[in-house]
Amino acid sequence: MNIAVLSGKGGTGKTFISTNLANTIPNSTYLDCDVEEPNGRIFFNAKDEMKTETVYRMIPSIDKDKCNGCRACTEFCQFSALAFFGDSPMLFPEVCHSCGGCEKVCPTGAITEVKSSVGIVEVNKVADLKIVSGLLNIGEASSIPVINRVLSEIENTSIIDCPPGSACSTMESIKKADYCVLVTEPTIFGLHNLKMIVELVQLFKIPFGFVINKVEDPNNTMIEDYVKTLGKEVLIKVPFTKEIANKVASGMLISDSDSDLRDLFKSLLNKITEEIS
Amino acid sequence: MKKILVLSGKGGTGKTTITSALIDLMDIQAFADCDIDAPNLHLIEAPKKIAKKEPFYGMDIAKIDPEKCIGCGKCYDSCRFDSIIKEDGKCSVDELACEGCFVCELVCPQDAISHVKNIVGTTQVFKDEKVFSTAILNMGSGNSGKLVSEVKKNLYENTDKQPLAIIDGSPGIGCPVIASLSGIDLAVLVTEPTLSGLSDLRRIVDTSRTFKTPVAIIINKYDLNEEIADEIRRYSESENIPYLGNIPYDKEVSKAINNNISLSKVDCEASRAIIKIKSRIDELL
Amino acid sequence: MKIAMATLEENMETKLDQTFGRAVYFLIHDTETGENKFMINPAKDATGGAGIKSAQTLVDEKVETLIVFRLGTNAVKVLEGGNVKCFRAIEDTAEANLKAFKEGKLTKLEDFHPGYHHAK
Repeated sequence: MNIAVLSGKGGTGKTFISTNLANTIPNSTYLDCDVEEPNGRIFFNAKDEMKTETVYRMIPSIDKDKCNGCRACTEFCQFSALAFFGDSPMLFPEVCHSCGGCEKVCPTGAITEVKSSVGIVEVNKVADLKIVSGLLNIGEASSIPVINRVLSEIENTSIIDCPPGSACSTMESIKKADYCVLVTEPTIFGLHNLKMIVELVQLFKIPFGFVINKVEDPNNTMIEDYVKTLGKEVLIKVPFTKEIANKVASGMLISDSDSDLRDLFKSLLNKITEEIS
Repeated sequence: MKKILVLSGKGGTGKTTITSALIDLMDIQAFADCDIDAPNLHLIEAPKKIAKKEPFYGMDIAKIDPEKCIGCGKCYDSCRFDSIIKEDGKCSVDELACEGCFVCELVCPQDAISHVKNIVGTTQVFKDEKVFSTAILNMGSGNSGKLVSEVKKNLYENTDKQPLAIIDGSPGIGCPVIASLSGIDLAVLVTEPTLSGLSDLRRIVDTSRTFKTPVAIIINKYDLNEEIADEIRRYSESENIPYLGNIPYDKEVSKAINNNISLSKVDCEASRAIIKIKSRIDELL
Repeated sequence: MKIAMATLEENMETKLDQTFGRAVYFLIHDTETGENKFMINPAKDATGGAGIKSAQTLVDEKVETLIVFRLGTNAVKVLEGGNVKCFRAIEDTAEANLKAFKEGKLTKLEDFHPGYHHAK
């Protein structure tokens, strides 16, 4: 079973929920698809690195001797990654989308494709928990290749920590999910952005449920009220206390030290398993 | 016109809350929301008169004519973005996944593929005595950098003599952040006292430096973990980054925000801390 | 010699565009014929690589001089490759910028910003 954890608004607690959920499930896998700012690994204190792999995409390489200056590649490229002056094209790799089109249109075979690094994926193990983290190189535009490599490590019950928002990187991260946990906070910002990801999971027809994090005021029911309009109930509510915040801030897995919260995360898994079957 | 950009690296540190407070405290008449994946500034700074609302186009995307398609799958074989769906002997395009590269149109032996305009978001400009520029990117889209540039352009085109503009930025270090950094006089980085926050702060500092943008740091909710707050302070000193100040965790903040009220209109520990920060920003500019 | 500028409108009294890659119009002035030609920038709606495409357009038009406020590093690479000399624009009309250039009053554009980088 693959459970994706997403939010819409950043900072609501996706990593908090997903790391602790993985921590309470025996033999599970935690996958961090927020490859721009991966944080999950901070909580697992993984010391021995099982493996680190570079993730590549393909970019064109131009053989000037074979180039006849026809400019077919430059004219074809939709992304303006190739400019032409003098007698051969010049590549701008950061705008290249790796579509392979220039190689196809070149009449002389002057263009071949070569690998270009976009990031890395680390796979670690702590006890029976497998931890997979993707890290995008700074300045790199597309996180998709790194996300896909992270997802290729799905094994047993997998918890997928997604990027914030509902853009293409989030979409890519939920493609293999059997269930989506939508995490929010009881603020107008949280509610406003929650609605966007509900749209996304409905489009993908993936079953989903809600978790409210950082709950302080019992009179604030803005999220519960919204969830009811969808004919659903909230799965679990996690309280906010300064003590919890302090521990999480320093990278602690709260389900290790707090038995109530440990039980709460176990109940989350039970509710999800019930809903899917 | 001087331009301030509010960034964070990590999401949820308080960019929008702080931006809305600074708008009032510094009497800023021109502001924009460049967090186009999840825009929130309008919930606090409620705009009134809409001056302009326009669709935003991404790349033209592929469209397959089912009459001409023979289901040979050459498009499917060449597509690098998993955008071709093969079903019932025909091929069709997944509009959300298509990147508009034109390779499928190139390889189709039946001339069955063309490319069409694709709306991926909407830009809006509100204008009375103040100017507010914002946008929303449709779900699943990927053209965020250009949309951010549009939001900024709309802001600048509609401003006149305003001396200062502030932009609520996006979390992360990707396209929308990179696009927002250009032409900025000061990037204010809002962080939180967590290991995640510090880790993300380093990456956003590196990203900002790639674009030679001056940066300054604010630690929000600093008392949630004072040890890490100190570590962040030491980091900013060692990197010669101006430290603007810190804001304590304050229950009054979410109360105000949930009532759509800017912190500047409430008197509490957090708002008093922001007033001090405001003076330091004035000095820096 | 052909001199280019990024403009907001299609007349000589227009102000210059503060940006380059997605400017709406390019003015191309031919010093030999005195002709002023305005063209729509094919990159004005580009989702990415706008600076590259705009610069390519001017190189293909055989422009030798560009008067502009700012340029990204990608556009600069293309312009340099195409031997286009870049000068810093002044806050005035296209006509005034042209006059200032001919009188040798414009300075060379030396600092370039890293580009917006493309949108996916």
